Amino acid sequence: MTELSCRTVRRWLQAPDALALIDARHMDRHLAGCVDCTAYRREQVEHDRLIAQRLDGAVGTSSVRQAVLSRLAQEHPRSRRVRRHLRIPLRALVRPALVLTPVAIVAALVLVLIGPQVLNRHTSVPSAVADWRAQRPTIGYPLAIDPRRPQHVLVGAWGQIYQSWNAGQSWQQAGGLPAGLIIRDLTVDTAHPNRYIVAALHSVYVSDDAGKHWVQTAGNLRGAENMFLVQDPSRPQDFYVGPSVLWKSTNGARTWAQAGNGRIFAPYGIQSLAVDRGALYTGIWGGGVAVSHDGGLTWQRRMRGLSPNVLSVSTGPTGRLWAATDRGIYVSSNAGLTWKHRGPSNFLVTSILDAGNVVLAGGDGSVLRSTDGGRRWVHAQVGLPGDPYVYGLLAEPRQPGRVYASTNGDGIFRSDDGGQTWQDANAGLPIARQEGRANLVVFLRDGEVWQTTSHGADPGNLTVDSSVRSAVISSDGASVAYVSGSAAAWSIRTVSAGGSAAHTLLTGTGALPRHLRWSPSATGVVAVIEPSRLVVANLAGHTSSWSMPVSTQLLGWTKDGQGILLWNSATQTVEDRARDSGSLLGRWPGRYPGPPLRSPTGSGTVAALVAPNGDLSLGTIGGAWRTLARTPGCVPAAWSDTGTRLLLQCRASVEIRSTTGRLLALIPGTRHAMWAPDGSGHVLFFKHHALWSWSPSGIHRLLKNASPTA
Amino acid sequence: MSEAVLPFGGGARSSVPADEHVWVERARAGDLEAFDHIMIRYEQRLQRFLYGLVGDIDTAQELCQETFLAAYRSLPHAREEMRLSAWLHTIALNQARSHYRKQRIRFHIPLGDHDVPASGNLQEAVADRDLVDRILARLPHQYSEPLLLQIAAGLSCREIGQILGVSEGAVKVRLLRAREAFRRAYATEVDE
Repeated sequence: MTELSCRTVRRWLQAPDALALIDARHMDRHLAGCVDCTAYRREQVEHDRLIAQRLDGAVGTSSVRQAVLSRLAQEHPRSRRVRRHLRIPLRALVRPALVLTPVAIVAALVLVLIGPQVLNRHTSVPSAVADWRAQRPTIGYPLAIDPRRPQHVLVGAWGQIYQSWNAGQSWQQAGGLPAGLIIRDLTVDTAHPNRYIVAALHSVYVSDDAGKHWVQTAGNLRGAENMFLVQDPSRPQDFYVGPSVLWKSTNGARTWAQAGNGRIFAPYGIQSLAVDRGALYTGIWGGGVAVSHDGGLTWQRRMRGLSPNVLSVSTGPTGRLWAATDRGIYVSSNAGLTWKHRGPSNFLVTSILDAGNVVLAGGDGSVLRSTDGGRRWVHAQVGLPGDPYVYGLLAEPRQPGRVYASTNGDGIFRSDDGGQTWQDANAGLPIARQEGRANLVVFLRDGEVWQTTSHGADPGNLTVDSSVRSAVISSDGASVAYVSGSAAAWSIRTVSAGGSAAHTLLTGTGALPRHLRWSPSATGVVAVIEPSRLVVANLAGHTSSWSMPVSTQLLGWTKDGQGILLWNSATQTVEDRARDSGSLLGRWPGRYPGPPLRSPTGSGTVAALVAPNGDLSLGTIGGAWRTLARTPGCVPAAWSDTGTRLLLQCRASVEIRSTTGRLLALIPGTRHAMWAPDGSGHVLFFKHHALWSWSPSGIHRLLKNASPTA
Repeated sequence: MSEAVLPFGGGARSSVPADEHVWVERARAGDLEAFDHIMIRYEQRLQRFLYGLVGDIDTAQELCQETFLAAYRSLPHAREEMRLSAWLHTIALNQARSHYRKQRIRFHIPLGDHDVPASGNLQEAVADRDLVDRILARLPHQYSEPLLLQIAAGLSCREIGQILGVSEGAVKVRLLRAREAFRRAYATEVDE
């Protein structure tokens, strides 16, 4: 090719990231030898930055959204706020579900709660609507290794920093960051060991005294949520923070300025950054990898042979450049000019660690290990949770073979043999706290299980089975069990409340299972499958079945989950029977003229019952019963969380009564009601194929096309 | 399970956020919450673009509002193979052009104080701010529009070409000329 003219180069500079690889090389060659064009490029970048800054400054934060919504509401009074059931092809569902970090976090959390067993027997049922799940809490454990002290490791967990001085065997909280932060990344300054830097959601905090006190050095950083924080190993004063656009500090994370105009990342893409031998490499969702040799001022795209959706880039001691993508692992041996695919392609990879002789790749559901530079991979999950979502992999450079894996939801794991085996390193770390998880309500819509909150917000289909007959959510709000099918062939399945593949516990024919109940630990269910036959199934695949004695009625599980409680109407007793064999273990003291409903408070000794003659009574187990009111045709359905109010389901209405029996409210026209799980004291009920909310101030319809689950 | 017909195809270098198709589909069905998500995502970008075109934040916000209203009304009928981002900026550009015609006066430069930084030299900050405004105001439309579509909206040359109805090559030439014009004006202003 003839030498390029300056005019051509300057025209190409208008869209450098759209250039073909060969043209980009010619342009780079020209720029390397042309002082004028290099100056031209720098000036262009500077002017673009000036314009972008001016536009940013002018716009500020004022919003027109409310005005638009008001006008639209007036124009379109029937605009649906309740969302339609989206008939989206599986591919369209899976990709966003894989991309969104919070989704993955939730999936990981759910896996913790359900236990690894459930993952061993996946069915092919796809998961729920992605954007509903995106609202679940985020539980990542970003990790940093102290560059000077080998046993010292830091981790971000639930908005605070924890540090371990014994390689993760125990953890202590390091000082106090402001409440409510979501920590995305952190590092220990290589030049100052007591200097910790934390990238939280859209902000940066610095501590100069090993985490005792913190100062915010950046706030309101624009962009997405997958923040990264990187220190340049060759220039310790230089730090980089993303995402969206790249922010750079040249004074030890004290002040920050935008590096370049970031157009190559536009509009959403940057995911990660790696600094190696003076070059910056960034992974871009939808845009492959880009490289900068001038500290982020200008970039060239590098994606020949590379899947475009890159989640992270990393480098290794031998100079290999790795890209973790939603389509597997890619490696480049020429700084990103060309890429080769390695390993399985159906693997969402989030992190790749090249330790020289061993390469580890972690992601959604797996950790893979290679000892031949990525040609062959084997699973390396001994000691890891059954289906981990790996957030990051870090090597301890001073101790060969020591590797840490941080996961979403499962905390930190350590390996001392290069990833062959792992051990839990979470002692002292807060793991899997279930903030906000309990406020879930399940309902049936078009034969599928759907979920919503007490406010009717963001319903999403949880199953795609179109013949669900009944469903029940576990007491911790983490799992849903349901019965689907017909008498010709039915099954009992479970699915995590955050959305996961369904797991079949039991199949059968004949009468559909009734009275499905979760065990207290949500590791098993009990149901009545024939007129007088019980089946107990756990998530590990063990089932047992036994006949109920005549005249007994299933009440549920004992508190320890070892026994099944039955009420015997003939003897007016409550029997405790072994869950596996049905043998009688004991009886509650006292007599019970109706099936009792134990209160959640009062040490479990207070219960309510309605006798056959309609007397609503309250009493203690083994003690006397006090008749409160006459409620013929009603059964106690649920105590409020505080144990001060009782919900009664009657023939064609629902009653709310106090512990003195006083009628507080009567909701006519429904038999299916529950306390709102958010503890608000509201009652949710189904009527006219809709979900409604009752409170002393009135009744509101939450969702249309909703039916009770049992 | 039948597939939903989704407008706004990705195109070769699409980097559409994963959930955007879902929001678009819902908004098309009349879901205001979904449309609100779209507004949250694009409002700042559209305001920056419109401000660059009209030079007045109040007008930019007014036009941004009209852009969203027009977009919501058009969504059910939209079938273009264009990214949502490019489509919204097309509407915004049309709103701005309509505004030019109505006003007859293309720009006025406000001296509001909403973006004065909290620290630093106040006079310098105001001068720099006004400098960029003045230069943008002097650029001909055919240059300022592609420049702002690139810088404020982050669109590719191909998408800018689709919006402006010219070829990708012509966009690059316009961008080159726009930047040369900006460079000359900037040098003149700074020298003065």
